[in-house]
Amino acid sequence: MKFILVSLDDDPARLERYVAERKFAMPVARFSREQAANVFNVHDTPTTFYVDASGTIRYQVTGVEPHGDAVDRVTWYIETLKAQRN
Amino acid sequence: MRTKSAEQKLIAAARTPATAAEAHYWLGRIYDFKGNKAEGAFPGFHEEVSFRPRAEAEFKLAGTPKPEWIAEGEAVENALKAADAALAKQQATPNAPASQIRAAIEARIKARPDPMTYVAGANALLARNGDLPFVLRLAADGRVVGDRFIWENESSYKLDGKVRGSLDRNAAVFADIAGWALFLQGDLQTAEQRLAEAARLYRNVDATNQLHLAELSRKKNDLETAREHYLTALGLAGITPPQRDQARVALADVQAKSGENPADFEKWLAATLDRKREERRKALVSNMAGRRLPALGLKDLQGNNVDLRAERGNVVLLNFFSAW
Repeated sequence: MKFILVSLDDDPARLERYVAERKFAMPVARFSREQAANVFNVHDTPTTFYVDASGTIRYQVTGVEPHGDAVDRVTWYIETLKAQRN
Repeated sequence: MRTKSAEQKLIAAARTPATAAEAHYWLGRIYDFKGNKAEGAFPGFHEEVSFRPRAEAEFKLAGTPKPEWIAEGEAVENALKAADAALAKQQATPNAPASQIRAAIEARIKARPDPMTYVAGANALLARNGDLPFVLRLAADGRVVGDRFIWENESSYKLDGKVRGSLDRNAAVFADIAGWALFLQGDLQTAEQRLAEAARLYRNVDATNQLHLAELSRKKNDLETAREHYLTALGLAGITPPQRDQARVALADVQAKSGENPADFEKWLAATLDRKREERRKALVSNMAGRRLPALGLKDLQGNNVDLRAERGNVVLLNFFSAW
C-alpha cells in the first residue's frame, strides 16, 4: 500500500507552509494544474485515485462524498482493492 | 453455469475412451454457447468468434449425439423453466405469503443457483416487507454466487475491465439489498454502511440505491443529505416513473420541512436538476476509473523521483490536493 500526495499549488511558499504544518508521512509531489488536466484528466481538488495492484485506476473520488465518515470511506476503498484478485 | 470448472472436467473426461464421445459433445455445447449464443445472454456477455471452429471440432469428435445426451440437456432446461414459472407466479400474486415465495426461491436456487434468482427473490420479499432475515441471507449468498458466476464465465466478458465492472456491480446489487432489508428491520447504522458501500460501487449512478439512501437520511432527519440523494436519483436516466413520483413527493416534503416556500418548488427543482446534470456530465467525462494510471515520473518537494510505474503490485492512493 502506497500513499502519494500531488500538490497542484501555484504558490510554492504557501505549499511549503502547509506541508511543514501538516508533517505528511508520505511523499508530496508537485504538478501544475495544466499538466494534471492533460495527463490525469484532473480538473478539481481534492481528487483521489484508488489504483489497484495491476496499475488500473479503479475508483476516482472528486470533492467530498455526501455520506460516510472520511476515515471509514478511505479504508473501505483500500481494503476493497487489497482483497481483490487480479 | 460453472463454465470453467465444467470445461476442465470435460477435457479430462475426453481423455478416457469410455467417456470421450459424450465429453466432446458437451464441450461442443459449451463452445457453441460461447461462440454463438453468449451475446447479451447475461449482462456484459459477448460471443467469442474464436470458439466457433472449436465447437465444430468438438461436435465432430463426438460423432452423432446419443438421444439420452440430448434428453439430459432438455431435462435440465425444463426443470429450470418450471422453477422460473413457479417463482414468477408467486411474484405476480399480490397476497402471496412470504413462506410460499421463499419456497419458490429455494426451489429455483436448488435447480441452478443463478445470481439473478437471488436478486429477483430478495426484491419480491422486500416489496412485501416479508422474511427479512432470509433476504439478508440471499444478499450474502448471492454476492458469493455472483462473484463465482463471473469468474466461471470470465472470458465471455472479454475485457478485464468488464469483469471488474461486473464484479463491482454484483457486489453493489447485494450490498443495496442487504442495506434496505436492514433499514426495514430498523438497524439504521448498519443499513447506512451497506447502502453507502453500494453507492461507491455503483459510483452514485443507481436510482434505487440513491432513493434508499434518501429514505434513510429522511428517517434520520438529515434533510440536507436526503435532498442530495433525491436530487441525484431524479437526475438519473435509470429512474422508473413510479420512483420519480415517489422522489418528487418526498423531496417536496424535505423542502417544506427545511422552510422553503412550496410555491417555488417546481422552479427550484428544474433549475437544480439542470445544474446537477451539467456537473455530472463534467464528472463523467473526466472520470479515469478503468483507465491505466499514466506511467509518469514525478518529483517530490526534495527533488527525489516518485515513479508511479514502480508501484505495480501495490494498491496506491494518489491524492491531488491544493493547500488552503
